[in-house]
Amino acid sequence: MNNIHPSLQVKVVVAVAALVLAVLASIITVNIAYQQRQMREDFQSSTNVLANTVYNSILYPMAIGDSETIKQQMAEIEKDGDSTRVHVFGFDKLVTYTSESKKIDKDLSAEINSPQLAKALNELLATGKVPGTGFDEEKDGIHYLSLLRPLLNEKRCHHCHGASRPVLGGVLISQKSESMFQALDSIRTKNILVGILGGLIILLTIFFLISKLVSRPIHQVISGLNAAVWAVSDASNETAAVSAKIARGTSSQASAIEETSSSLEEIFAMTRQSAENASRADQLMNDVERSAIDARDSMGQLTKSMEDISSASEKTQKIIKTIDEIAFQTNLLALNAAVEAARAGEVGAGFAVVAEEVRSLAKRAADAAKNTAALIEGNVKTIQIGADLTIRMGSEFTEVSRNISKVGNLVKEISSASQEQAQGIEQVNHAVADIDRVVQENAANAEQAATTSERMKNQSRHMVGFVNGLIALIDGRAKDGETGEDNEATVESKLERKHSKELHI
Amino acid sequence: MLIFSFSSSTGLVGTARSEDQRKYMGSESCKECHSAEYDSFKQFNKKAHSFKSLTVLKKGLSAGELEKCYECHTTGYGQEGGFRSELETPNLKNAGCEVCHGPGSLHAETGDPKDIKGKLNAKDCEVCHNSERINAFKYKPLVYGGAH
Repeated sequence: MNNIHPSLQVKVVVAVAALVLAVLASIITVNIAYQQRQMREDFQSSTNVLANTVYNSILYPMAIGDSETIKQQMAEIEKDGDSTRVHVFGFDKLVTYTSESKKIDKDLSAEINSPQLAKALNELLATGKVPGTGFDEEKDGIHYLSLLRPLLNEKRCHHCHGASRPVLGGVLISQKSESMFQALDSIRTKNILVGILGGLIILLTIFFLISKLVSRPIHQVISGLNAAVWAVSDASNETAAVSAKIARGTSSQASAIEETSSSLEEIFAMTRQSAENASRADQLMNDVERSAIDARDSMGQLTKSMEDISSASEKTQKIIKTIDEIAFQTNLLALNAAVEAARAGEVGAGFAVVAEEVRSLAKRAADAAKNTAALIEGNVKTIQIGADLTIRMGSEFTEVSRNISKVGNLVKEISSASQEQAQGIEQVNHAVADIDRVVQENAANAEQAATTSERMKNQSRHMVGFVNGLIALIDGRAKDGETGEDNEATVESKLERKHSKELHI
Repeated sequence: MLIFSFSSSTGLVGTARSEDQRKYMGSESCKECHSAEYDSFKQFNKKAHSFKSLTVLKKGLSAGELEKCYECHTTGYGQEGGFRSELETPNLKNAGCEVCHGPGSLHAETGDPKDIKGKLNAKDCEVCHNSERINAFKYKPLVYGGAH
């Protein structure tokens, strides 16, 4: 668009010029009107004085019927030239006395060129009243100020004029007002010239003052403002991008923390479970320890029993040995019996059989004793082994019990550690929940910051547009073909280009 | 006042008329014998031109007002042989000698000074020149100043 955009200075000067011209025109008009009115009043005052003088001068001669004196006075006035005209007229508007001798007995209406004056004349003849002001007349291209004075039919006039008419006529005094109009024209011309000159001086002064005191500082402010606005725009862009990143990061962080929180919940549950298990294990270990102690005691008793068995077996072995010795002795006896029986022959045959049987029993007893001894010995050995094993087992049980005690302590420590860990995890879980809430708030704040940054970016674009508009307003030109309407779009495209460059970089 | 003076004048003339049947003749009748007085009267006395005021002023007057004017501005208006109109009695249209001296027909006929009022005094003038008019117009009668 090729619209003309005058600068602010020109606009202000034009506006001020219009205002100044209007004020000056008003002042000049009022002044001229005042001076005209003043001059007119002065002139009318002098005309009034003249009218009164003429009126009073003719009043007495008229009162005494001295028409010659009046005629002489009129002749004197006529002799002075045409600056003053006096017409004394009757109720029929016919001129009785006049300073223009050729107008005698003529109708005064023909001498009047002002409708207002003609109306005032009729009013005068009807009522005897006249307005206080004069009337402007132009006759033969010459301006006159005319005044009317009534000739009332007073009592002293009744002798000659009777009493039937209230108004006998009047006096029309006209004074040339050319000099007044010339003076008014001169005053008007001088006023206008002075006004134009004063207006020009005021306009030049205003132009200079605006340039010096307004435009230059505004330009400086605009430069600073422009730089600041672009900086704010860049900063808002960066802030918007960073805010968006923060928002995204915070969102991811929030979800990660949420996952962490749920994991921690699970860990907490597991840890609590472990703590409970550890506690239960501790209790079990206590039971085991008590069982181990009981077992150790039982093993001690077993060992003692085994020792008792061993001792009993040794005693049994001794008994068996005794039995074996008895069996041996029996056998020996049986042998002896047999021998004896054999000796006894037939009589001893039976005995021999008994002796054989006894020897067989003794043998069997010896065998049984041997077997028993062997068994007992085996038992003793076994018992010894068992006792040794029991002893070893007892010591092992003792070791086991000690270890179980250690394990129990460890389990206790584990249990307390698990509980502490559960408490710690619970605290961590609370902390994570707090972090989660804070992160959620941070995410929301980051999103709000991103939104605010976006709005700020838009506002900065608007501000750039406004600054460009202000520059165009001050400088009176649209940069790069901008106008007030498409400033914002151009700024938008500039910012987009700038943003693209930054992305490429 | 005019009516009063008219009545007085009427009485005076009425007496003369009833006695002598004297009539108004006009000032021209006096000229032959009293030429010097006549000339002086015509030249200097305003009465000799008194009708002129009426010709100027009569346009604004009613008939009644004009008749009152005739009583002092003409000779013998309203009396036998007196002024009737400018056309009928042009010789009586101004206030002539007979206004003050009375109708002169007998005197003109006899030439006897006794037939006319010769000696005048201020009262004779007050018929028209009353004090009000004197104050208004300064027309003090010149009875002793030599009006003619």
